[in-house]
Amino acid sequence: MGAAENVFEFVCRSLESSADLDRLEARGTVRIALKAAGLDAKGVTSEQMEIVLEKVLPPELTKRGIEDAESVCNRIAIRMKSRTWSAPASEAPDAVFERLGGNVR
Amino acid sequence: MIPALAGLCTLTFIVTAAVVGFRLLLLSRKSGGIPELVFGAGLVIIVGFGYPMILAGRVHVESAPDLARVLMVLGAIAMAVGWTSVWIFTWQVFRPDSPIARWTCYSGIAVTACTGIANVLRTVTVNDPAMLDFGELAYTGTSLMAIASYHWGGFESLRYYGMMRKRLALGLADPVVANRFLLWGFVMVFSLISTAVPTVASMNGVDPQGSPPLMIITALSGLGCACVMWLAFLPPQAYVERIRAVA
Repeated sequence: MGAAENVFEFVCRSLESSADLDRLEARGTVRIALKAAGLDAKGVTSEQMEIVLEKVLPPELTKRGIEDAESVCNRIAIRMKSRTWSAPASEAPDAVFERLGGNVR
Repeated sequence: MIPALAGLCTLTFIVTAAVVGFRLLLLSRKSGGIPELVFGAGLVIIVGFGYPMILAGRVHVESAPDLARVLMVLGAIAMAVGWTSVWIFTWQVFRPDSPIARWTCYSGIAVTACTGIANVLRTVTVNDPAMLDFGELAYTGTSLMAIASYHWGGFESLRYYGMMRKRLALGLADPVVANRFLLWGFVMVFSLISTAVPTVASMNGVDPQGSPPLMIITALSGLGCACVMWLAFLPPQAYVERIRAVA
């Protein structure tokens, strides 16, 4: 496990070992799930990935013949949450645009 | 009637953009953020200095051509400097880690600087005062670079809005922030129209200031730009509540 491993790499690697997917299939499936959620591999945070693992990835894995996809994703989510993740190197566009509006939230 | 309407729209655009620009500069003092500093400064330079200089220059072309020439030169410098902010803003907000985006930004700024310098030289040397604000390659080149920057900014913002809509469905985004990407995309589209229409007209030998339909299109796109800019950066509470209610 490299020191620079990000959330995307972690989930892909976990998927390879938990489900019967090779590296390319695992990365491709996670990328498809991220795209469906409006996210990208480089900037996805652990909080965002948690939702992807809960709502988007299980159906994608089921489509690829993975049994008990929800349990697989749940286990990955638990392991992911137990780790500390550093913030992405650059600020996300949505964080900038939230600030530009004067934090109306 | 049409010049008065166009003038009112232009004034609305200048006031709105200046207020938004100063607000972004104030925000940058608190946050230390580069995007708000760059774009706030760009807006203030364009609408607070460059655009008024060019408008004042146009007014004095016949009555005081030397003064008009000075005003046009100052305006051309300010517009070129201000327009570089769009390149930097788009790069810094949407693709700060991308080498391609960085070099696209650098190239855009370099070409804008070259065309800006050529435009200043043309304004200084042109013999006929009536040609001070009329399309030649240097003038057109600066405008084309602005149009290119608006294309890039609009594309990135509307692409990101598409991503934010998907996130909204999963509860991963704030609807007001998502809407701000759409509004920013429209700011770029309206800016593009208001720059492209007079540029294309000039390239075809038509004086945009002498054509009522072109004046109306340019003025309305300026007004549209002012409206969406206001909603994006100074949204009234009622608008915010409406966006949240619809989401």
